[in-house]
This record gives sequence, C-alpha cells and structure tokens, in this order.
Amino acid sequence: MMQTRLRRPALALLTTGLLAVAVTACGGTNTSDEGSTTPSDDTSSAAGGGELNIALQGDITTYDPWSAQSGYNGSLLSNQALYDSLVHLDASGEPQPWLVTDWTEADSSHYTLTLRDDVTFTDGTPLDADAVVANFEYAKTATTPGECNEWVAGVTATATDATTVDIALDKPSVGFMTDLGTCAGLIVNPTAFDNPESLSSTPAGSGPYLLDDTNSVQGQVWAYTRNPDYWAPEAFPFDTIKLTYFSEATAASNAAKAGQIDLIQSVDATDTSSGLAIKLTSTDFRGLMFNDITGTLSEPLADVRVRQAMQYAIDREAIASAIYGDAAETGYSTPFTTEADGWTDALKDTYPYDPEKAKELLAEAGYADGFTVKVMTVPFIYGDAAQAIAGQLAEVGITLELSDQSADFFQQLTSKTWPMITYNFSIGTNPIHTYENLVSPNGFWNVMQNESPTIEDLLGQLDQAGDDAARTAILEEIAKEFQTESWYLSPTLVRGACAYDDQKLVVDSPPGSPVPFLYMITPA
Amino acid sequence: MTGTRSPFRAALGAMVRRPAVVVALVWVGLLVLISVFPDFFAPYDPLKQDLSAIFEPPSATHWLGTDNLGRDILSRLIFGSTGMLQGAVLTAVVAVVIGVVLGLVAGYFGGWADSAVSFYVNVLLSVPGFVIIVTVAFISGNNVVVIMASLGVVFSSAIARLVRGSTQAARNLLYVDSARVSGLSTPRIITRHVFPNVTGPLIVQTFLFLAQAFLILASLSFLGLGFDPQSPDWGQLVQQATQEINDHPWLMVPIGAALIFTVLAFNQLGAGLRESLPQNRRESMLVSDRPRVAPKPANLADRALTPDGTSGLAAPRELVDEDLALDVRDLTVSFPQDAGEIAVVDTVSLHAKRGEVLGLVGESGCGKSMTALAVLGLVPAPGAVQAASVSIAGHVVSSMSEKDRARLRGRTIAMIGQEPMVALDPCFTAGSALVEALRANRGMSRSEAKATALELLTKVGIARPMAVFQSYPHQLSGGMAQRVAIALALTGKPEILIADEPTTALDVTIQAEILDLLLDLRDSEGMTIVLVTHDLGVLADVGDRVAVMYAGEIIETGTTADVFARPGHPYTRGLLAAVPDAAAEGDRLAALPGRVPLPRDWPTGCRFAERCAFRMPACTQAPVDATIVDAGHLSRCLAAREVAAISPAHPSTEER
Amino acid sequence: MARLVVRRLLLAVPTLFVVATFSFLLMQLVPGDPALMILGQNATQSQIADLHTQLGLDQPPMEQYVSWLGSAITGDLGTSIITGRSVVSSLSLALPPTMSLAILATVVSLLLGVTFGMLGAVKGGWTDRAIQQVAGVGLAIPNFWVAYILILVFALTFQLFPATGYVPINQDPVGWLKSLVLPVASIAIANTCQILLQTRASVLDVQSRDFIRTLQATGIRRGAVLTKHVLRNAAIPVAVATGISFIGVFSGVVVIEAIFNTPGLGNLLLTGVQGADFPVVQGTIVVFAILVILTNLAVDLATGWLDPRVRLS
Repeated sequence: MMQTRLRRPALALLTTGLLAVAVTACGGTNTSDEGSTTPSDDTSSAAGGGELNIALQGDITTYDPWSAQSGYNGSLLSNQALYDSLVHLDASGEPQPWLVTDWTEADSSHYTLTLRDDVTFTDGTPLDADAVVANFEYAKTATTPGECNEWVAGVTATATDATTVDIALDKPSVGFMTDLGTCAGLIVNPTAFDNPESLSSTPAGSGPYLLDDTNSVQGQVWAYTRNPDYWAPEAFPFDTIKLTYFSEATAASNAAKAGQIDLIQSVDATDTSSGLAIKLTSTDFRGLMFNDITGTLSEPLADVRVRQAMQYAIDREAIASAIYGDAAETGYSTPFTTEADGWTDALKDTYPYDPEKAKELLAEAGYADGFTVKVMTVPFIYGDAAQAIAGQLAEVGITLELSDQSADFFQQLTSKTWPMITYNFSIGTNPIHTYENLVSPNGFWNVMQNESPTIEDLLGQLDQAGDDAARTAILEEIAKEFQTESWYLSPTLVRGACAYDDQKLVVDSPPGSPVPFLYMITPA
Repeated sequence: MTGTRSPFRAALGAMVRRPAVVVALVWVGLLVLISVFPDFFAPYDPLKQDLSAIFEPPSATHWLGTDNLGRDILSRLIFGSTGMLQGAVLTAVVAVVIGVVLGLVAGYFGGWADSAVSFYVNVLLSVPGFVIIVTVAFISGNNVVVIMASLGVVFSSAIARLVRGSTQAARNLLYVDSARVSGLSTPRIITRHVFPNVTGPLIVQTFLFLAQAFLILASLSFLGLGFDPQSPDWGQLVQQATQEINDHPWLMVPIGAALIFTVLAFNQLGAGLRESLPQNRRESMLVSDRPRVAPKPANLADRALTPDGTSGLAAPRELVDEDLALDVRDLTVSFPQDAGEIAVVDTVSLHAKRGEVLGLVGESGCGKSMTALAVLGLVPAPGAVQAASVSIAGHVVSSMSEKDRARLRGRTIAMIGQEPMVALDPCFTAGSALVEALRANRGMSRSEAKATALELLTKVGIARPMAVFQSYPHQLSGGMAQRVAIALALTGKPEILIADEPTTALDVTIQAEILDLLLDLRDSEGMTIVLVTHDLGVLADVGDRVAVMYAGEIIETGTTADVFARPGHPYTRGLLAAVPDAAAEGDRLAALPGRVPLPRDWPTGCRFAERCAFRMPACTQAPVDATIVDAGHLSRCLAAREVAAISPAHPSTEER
Repeated sequence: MARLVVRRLLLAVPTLFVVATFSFLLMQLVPGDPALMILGQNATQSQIADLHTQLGLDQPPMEQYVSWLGSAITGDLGTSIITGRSVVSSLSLALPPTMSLAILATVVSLLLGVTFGMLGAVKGGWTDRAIQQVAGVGLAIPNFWVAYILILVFALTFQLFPATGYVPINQDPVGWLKSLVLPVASIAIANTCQILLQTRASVLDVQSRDFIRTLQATGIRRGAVLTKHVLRNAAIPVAVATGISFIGVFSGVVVIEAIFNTPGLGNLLLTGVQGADFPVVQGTIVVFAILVILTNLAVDLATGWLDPRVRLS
C-alpha cells in the first residue's frame, strides 16, 4: 500500500486551497435552523474528559487564524481550540448557529448576523459586533494573509448594535455562511490587532481551550487545557488536547500503534499501517495531465488521437485495485464521482482498456513506433500510480520519463517546461469550480493556459440554464467533451483520509474538508 | 627494498588467503559482473509490470517475489546494482583524485599550499557530511551524479591528509638523501617514493568509501532523495521497502541483504588489506599466559632433541651446573606458517658463567633476538618454544608454568632492548616506570621506591636524576633513554641481563659510554650479560665468550680471543672482515655476498653453503655437526680447522 | 597544550566563516521561491513582492549575505521564512534532543566498544573472530533499518519504550531516558562497532610495541601491563575514534530523528531544506559546524591529557 513519506509543504498547499472550492460550494441553502444549537456531540457530553492526542503533518507557525494555513497544516485544529467560530458546520457542510445565533440573507450579497451577547475573550474583552467587524477589517490587511482571507476580502461589515453585524459583499456568494464555519470565521480579540506580531506566539481568543505553555514546545508539541470560562464546554468533550507535529508519516503510524496517538489528521487512504480506523474525507481527481496540448514541448501530444490512445492504453481497474485497493474507485479521466451532477454511465465506456485500439490511433497519428515524453512527478502524491501508468504505456510504445520534482514543485509547475505533470484536485460539489480550475485558461492546473472554446462556451451556457434539467444536460455535455478532448489522464479517484482510534473516538468532517473539525471529534 | 615482491603485492597475497576476504571478493566480483551485464543475468525486464501479481512471495517464477507493481524483484535488484555501483565508484574516484592531487601539492610544496590544503581539510571536517549531502540532494533536484560527486569531495579530505603525510615524509627523506640521490625528476620522485607507500592505505580507504557511499545512498533514498522514482536502483528499492515495511516486510529482505552484504564485503576487503599491509602486521609482544605447544617444525633436520644430546653446539655438561648463570640446551623456536610449523631458532645450546659477558652474534634474521626472547620466555604469539632444558641462575625454567616464570623476569633475568626510545611507555614518566617496577620487584612503598629510583638513575650515570625522573620518554635523548632502560632492568637486581643490540640505535660516542656502563655493572653487581649484536667489533672489547648464529643455528662458539684469532667458520670470518672500523661506510658485508635464507628455505645441509667460498659437495648433503677447533672452540663447518688456519681474518685484530 | 587550544580556536574563526559562507551559497542554489511556499497558489504578484521585501529576498545576494553574516556575528541568525520564529530560538529548542542523543549514544558506544574491543584483542582466537564478524555486520546495517526493527520489537510488540517523541529532561527524567532508548540504540550500534574495531586495533597495536616487552622483562605482571599500560596507550586513538563517532551522530540524526520524530537539529535541517527555509538551514549548518569544532577541540584536550607527547609539545 502506498504510504507517503515526507509531507513537504508543497503537498499541504496543493491540497489546502481546494477546501475553499469544496466548502464554499456546499452552501446551497440559506435557511437557518433557529434554536437547533445542539452541539454535534450531545450524546457524548457526559462521557467527556480525558486527553485527545492528535498527530499533525504540518507545523503550527502562528496563532493568528487570519495568517494561518489549514489543511495538512495543523492550524485549523489549533485555531478551533483557541478561537470561537461564527458558525459551526455539520457533517453535511450545513452552517449551524454558534457565535452567530441567527442570520438572515437579503440576497446572496447581503447578510445580517445576530451574535450571542455573553461571550468574552480570555482577557475579559467582550466578543461583540465591533470585534467581528474589526476581524473582517484585519483580514484584509494581514501581512501574511491566511488561506481563507480572500473569502472575506469583499466584505464590508457594519456593527448596527452590540450584537448585530450587517454584511455587504462585493459579489454574490451563496456559500458565504459556510465559509464562516471554516477558517474564515474564527474571531480574534481585536486588542491583539494593535500588535499583530504578538499573535505569532500568543493566542488571543475566546475559544474552548487555552494554550498550555508549560507543556508546549514551539514547532513540536502544542498542549491545550480547558478554558474555564467557556460558554459551551459540553461541545468540546476533552479536558486536554495535545497536537504533535510529525514530519515523517511512518513515525506517526508507529506512534499510533504504540498508543501515543489517537488521531492522525491526514493519512493516505490506503495507509493502514497505523492500525487505526480510516475515515475517508475528500475525493481527489489525481493523475497525469497533458500540459502541452499545443505540442510546443512534445509534438505528439498536440494530436488528440495520441492523447486518446494513451487513455485506451491504460487498464484503469487494474491500476485502481493494485495501487489503491479500497481507497480509490476506478476513474475515467473525469473529475466526477458517479453521484455527481453531470455524470452519465456512458462516460465509463469512452475509453475501455484496449491496447490494440491505442496502437491503431498512434499509427493513424503517425506515431506507430511510439515516442518519449518527459513527465514531472511528485512521488509522494502520485508515485506508484504514475509508474504503473508508465509501465502500461510502455506496452504500446510510449516511454514516460518520470522525474521527481518534489523539491521545487511550484517553480517547475509554472516553468512551462514539462509536457506532462502530476496533478491533484480535491473535488468539491460545485462542478463549475472544478472546470474553472482544470480547463479555464487561468485555472490553477491549466498552467500552460490551454484553451478549449467548446467547454468555455458550454460553461457560459450554464449561467443561462433555465432549470436543473437544462443545467444537468449541459453538464453532461461538458463532461463528455472533457473526456473527448482528453487533457487529463486519470485511472482513479483517490480518497483523502484521516486515521483515528475507533475504540475511543467518533470523527467527522464537513464534505470536501481534507481534515476533521475539532468539534466533530468526540469520544466513542 | 630489494625484494622480489613489493610490500603491497605481498600484502595482497596475504589478504587473499583470508576466507572472509575470499567471500567478499566473490561477492564484489559478482556485483560487478551483474552490474555490467544486467541483461544477461536478470530473468525479466526490471520495468515489466503485472498488476495482477503484486507483492507475490518468492516462487519458482519470481525467485525473490514481486513488488507493488508486480515487477520481478530479482531483476530490479540486478539492474539496480548498476546505478548504485556507478554512484559509489564516482564518489571514490572523485575523492581519490581530489585527495591525491591536494595531498601531493600540500606535501610536496609545503608552506602556503600546505596551509591552504589543511584549511580545506579542516573546513570539510567541520560539517557532518550527511548534512551537506542532504542539502545538495534537494538543491540538485536529486541529481545522483552531483550528489555522489559532492560526497566524493567530502571524502577527499581523508585522502588528502593521507597523501600529504606520505609525501611530506618522502620529501624530507629526499632532502636528507639529496647529496647522494640526484637527477630524479619530481614526477619520478613521487612515483618512486610516494605512491608505493600510499597505495595500500589508499586502496583500503577506497574500499571503505565504497561501503560508505552505498550506505549513504541508501539513507538518502530512505529520505526520499536520490534516484528517479521509476529506476530500479537500490535506493529506490530501499525506499519502497521501508514504505511497505508494515504490510509487506518481505520486501526489506532482498534489498537489505544485498545492501548489507555489499557494505560488509567492501569493509572486509578494506580491513583485510589493511591488516595485511606490512606497516600493520606486527605481532603482539604480550606473551600469552598459556604458551602454545607446537608440533615438530618441518624445516628441521632430524636431530635428536635429548637432554644429553650433543647435537647443539655445546660441550656435554652436567644437567644443572651451578656455576652457569645461563644454560640453554637444544632450544627450538617455531612459528606456524602456511607450509606448517617453521623453526626460526633451531636446536640452539648456549651457556654463560656467572659474571661473564657472552656475545651472541649474527646478521639480522639469524634468530639471535628470538633466542634471547625464548630465554626470557617472551617469544611473541604464535611462537612456540621447545627445549631440552633452559636454566636461569639454577632455575630450570623450561619446565615451569608461565606464572612462575613471569616471577623470574625482572628479578632473576632482565633485558634491555635495541631502541631505547620505544622501549619505554610514552605515557608515563621515567620515574613512574621505575617506581612501578621497584614496587613490583622489591615490594617497596611509593616513597622508598622513589628514593631507590633516583639512586638507580645516579648509578646508571645520570647527572641530574630528578630531572630525568620527571621526564617523559620523548623528552629524553636516546642515550639517556637507554640509561633509564638499564636502570629499569636493574630494579629487580637481576643476575642475568640480556642486552639486545643495546647500542645500535645510538650515536657512536654514546655507544661506548653505554658499553662501559654495562661492563661496570657486570663488575659491580656481578651480573652475567648476554650481549646480542650484529657487530663483532663491539665484542672485541667487552666479550668473554662468543656464540655466532646463522640461520637459526649456532655455527661457532668459543672464547672471544679464540674466535677472533682463529675463526673456525667462513661466516665468522666474513663477519670479522666486515667489522665497521675496518670497512668504509657502505655495503657492510661486502665480504659476504647474498643474504640469510628465510627459515622456510633452510637447506638440509650447511645453511651457509650457498654464500660460502669454501663450499664442498659434502656441505649440502647432510646436516653438519660441530667440529672442535680448540678446547671450548667449536665450529659447525666441515672445513673448520682449515678455515681457522687461514687466520688472521681481521686486520685490526691482527694489529692487536 | 594551551597553545594548541588557542591555535585551534583561532583556526575555528576562519573555518566557521567559510562554513557560513558556504551554507549561504548553497542556499542560493535552492530551486523554488520560499514566498510561493508560504503564500500558496492564491498569491498575487504584489503579495509575493511584498513578502520578498519583508524577507529581504529582493536584495541582491551579496547584500543579503553581508547583512546575514553581520547579524550572525552578533548571534542573530535571522527568522525562519516558514514559521516566522527566531532561528536561534528554534536551534536552542532543537539542541537538547540532539545533544542528548549524541552524548548518550557516545557513552553507550564507548563503554560497549572498549569492553568488547579489549576482550577481542586480549582473548584472541575464536572470541576475537566472532567479535570482529559481529562488528563488521553491525557497521554494514543501515541505521534506519536498525531503527525500524527496534521500533517493531521494543515499541510495538513489547511496548517497552515509546515509538516516537522526546521528553525534555527537566519535565520528566525517566520519560526523557525512555524516549531516548530506541533512537540512541539505533545510532549506538554502528558507533559501538566503530569504537570496538578501533579499540581492538589499538590494543593490538600497543601490544606490538617494544615497551610492552620491556615491561614484561622488567617484571610487571601481565594484568598490570594490560590494564595500566595497554589501555592507557590504546585510549589515545580510541579517543579520536570516539570524537569521530560523536561527529557521526550529527549525520545520523538527520535520518534517525525523522524516524523517531525527535525534534532535534536533524529534523530542523530536514524540514528547513524541504521548505527552502534559508535562514534555518544556514543556521543549522553553522551550529553543526560549531558542534563539530567543539568536539574536535574536546578530542584534542582528551588526547593531550592522555598523551604527554601532545601535551608537552
């Protein structure tokens, strides 16, 4: 089973920014379930207490949520311990009242939030409407902006009274309330903004836990004890939390096996070496991308028949089961699960495993003798699978020269010198975001700014789509076109995961989040 | 060295006789072979995958099983050896080339160049190598060539130091010899004088580097650095195996074994060669507490070794003669060699009266020092001593336990050696050595011992005993050190003192002083002195009796006067003719062409025959027994009387 | 001796300077932009430029070098690009675990290595050959392999020691020791073999020296010769070998600390290199160099103490 070795910062970045796409897309509805402030773990509040030991794959470099990275980086869990969130999310990604007890949405650009009136920061400063406004202002000016800051970049917030905040957005966002349940809704004591530097070493929040300085070591271990003044202690059942940074995945597995760790924040879905239960989180569209659609670096790739030949040459099911086992489903070079809007079973049959057909297509395109192409890989993201693909393409005469570029992934990615690259994309539920990322000329993965007029045109039609059925029809067409143009070669949809001790814990996460949320970790 | 084989080649010869080295050679040979011809040896294409047969255990089709993509592990191992070996060799080559060049430059030119190279070495030694290599691996984007070359640079410091030292030594030597040796060009000086000395250590170091390079490549791969992901290189196999260690521990076995065997093999080759190099092949001087009993040596003529036998060169005597301070009968010392047990001292009989000075003479390699050591019971392992009897001051030591015998050393019999500078423990002052010996031999308290030590130092002619008492051996001159050694020998008030070439290493003026001191001690303490020397001239002045040794045998014995006046053996004649004050500096044994045969080459007949001007056919046919020249003057020569009659042999003795 | 120490310390200054310069140059070659690492793909050009200014990366390399070196001399090694922490404080946190590892591993290796090396050299024969072969294998096994086996056996199967982590000594001395047992053992195995072989070779070498014969001829008992004279003389090269193996630990920790998640210098270096965190890597290399120079100085002092020829020259 594949196990990732070194979690380099690149991986964290690669996967994190995508939480935005995923979670933002969840917020389809805007109704608030007033009164249902039930903490997600009401069954277990009595069974609380004890210590929660979590292995992180990233260092916590600051206690400032507005400067923090999340994802594999541990900051999200740390910040959820130290700070209160405007809303909580439930396991389906729906926003639930928390600091905000009630909200109204005039349209998707105008929201009014009503705050609790009984919350104070640890120094006694009240957490009121002014504090919330100050946070949104600070988010725009933070020197090292955090990952979620851009979601509130267009916010103009006004405190109409102590517990009411009016929000105007510069452009509509249906998922705005959901965003406030992620890293974009954690409220910092505004007194700290006088000297934001202090937040890199001293938290200033109103959260359920306090940092236990004596048992914490910078860059290594972070210990948290209960905030005795917290207003809803029952929502956070553990008395103490300890986060430990592991730079090496195997070390975390061993620690878990030796009973030192209850939860590993992020693991490869196939990695059962820790002996812990695996909780699947995100679904990743992962594979090799034909970066060079215009053929400037590798002439054969410009011919769609060549790209399609390569789709026929790979045995998707064999790769999925051999490399990922249960942790992946067979992929058809489309960024969709079978439940997604726009999926049709016909997509399954576009590229059956047919090496003969592949050879024919290659011969038609004038490459009967095959060719050689350079592939940039990042083995800890896509190692064995890339080799498996290479092995199968070799059978039809195509040689992939895999080259490990983990050290300077971003530099290489943007250098436009690689005809094919490893990519990974966490699928959200909004397909528009997915296509924007993968196909649009300024999409993140479309680093060579390739253009697909057909898909662009269809995406444009989506805006005018009258009803869901029309929308679905267009999506189906896009999916088909996406497969036909064949920019991406992906035999699998891989699952992201965390690993936890299921004797001790129940763990959940909102859809699309690669890591669990602190208040969704409860005793079993 | 005028030997037929260079010391390095001899070392290679000795090395390949070790079984561990043979195994290592076979492994490395195999490794080289498969890495050059992987296609021939590997059963499959290393990249050929079969996703339906992943992680298979070893079977008839896949001898070492398959990996995560169903590829044949054996084939990957075989193909992977190429890159690994190339990387390691690149490291070694870079290290050796840079190291040798810098070492030569530093050692030969000295001064500024030397300082610069020393600084280079210092800087490299100031950073842990692996730290640099990890950094380089990241920076170079896992370019194995760059990584391994950098490792070579890191390793080069060790080579530079080695070559620098050797070059410096050769250069100093050349300055000393420059009057005589001239007209040699620098490259020739280097090839003739530097390389022969460093070749051995250099190759040892290279083997160790190869081993290290393999380990470091493996460690890098463990961290996910180094080779390309698809390549079947060993590093990649290591990485894969460590990733799968929990689910598929078997993967660790083939690559682990290959890696460990290879590192072990290179280390063995290095260590084997190092221990075979002449400078590292020295025997322990520490005697075992359980002496070895050896079978009869193969190179001895079939002579009876009986207590009353006359086979040795000695007149028949009483079994224990109270007048004799030393009585050795039929002493044989042998060492095990490839050809079997080989004697280096052959049925030697000796005696010395109380208060007498007995000279034991012969060229080096004749066995005289070994005879002296056998008398003391200090033959180094794995030597074995057999004797009809050895008596020291009335104690029959040949039948004693090693423990009892050890008690006699220092108190009944003592020894001073040839090299006073190395005869004293460099870590302790002369005083503390004397105090230790006095406390051991005379049971004195520390303060008594100190007083006595100062007395002894005065007695051996040291003018400022307190200063010497507080000095370390390296602070003493050779003559002074020898006096301290003599004082040490006197701590147990021995009855017999064996002086093994006591003046050879000293200046001519000091030589006379030391000899005078020994004679004074003989007179004042009534000691018996056995003076081992290659220089008959020394004995002319001080010896009462002489025993001449050649190729492990006593070939002539008698009073000094008799032997000097009428040498009864051509060898003795040759030695006399070569006495230094007669001949000019230079080839000292001009009168005696050839050299002493090695013990394993001893002939059955006269061992000197080959070099002898008086050789007759009978000489080589059977062992030669002793002939009486005069009363108490015997010679092991068929023509003893005729030879004795041609005297005088030595111009200076003639004048006397 | 005092002169030797002074000379060594004086030499340390240019050596450190060169090491510092070298580490700076090395980091200039690192591919990738640390700003991209921090800001991620959402970064705009102006954000990147701002961060460059903030990190001083917009300055020409020469100016960066001069300002870095200038601060370094005053003991300020800058702040980490990734974590924003002061490099000196990160280093001071990472130093105790690594030094604990190095010192414990060296003490253990020294005790075992000298004991068994001496045993082999003195006993000879079968014992010696067995010890030599075991030591040979010990030197050939990669340390990460040893570490995995130790974890498998002692942490996972028998649960005697923690599989990962480090407990500061002032927090819990027993926990400190327990947390170090396995990593120390992983490092100490090869180091023990190294010291063992050196001890054996030195003892054999000393035994072959003339003064051993003199001592015996003078009537000093075998036991006294061995324990007093052989050991004392053999200790000199063993001290040097111990220094080398102590320095070797600093190479070993890069791998071992990753396996045991020990928050030491090795881990700091590795994460620093991975994140192109210039100041951290430069600082770590400089600290390693200081440690090595200090170790060499300690070895000089030890050999001087043991060997009068060094002490008095």
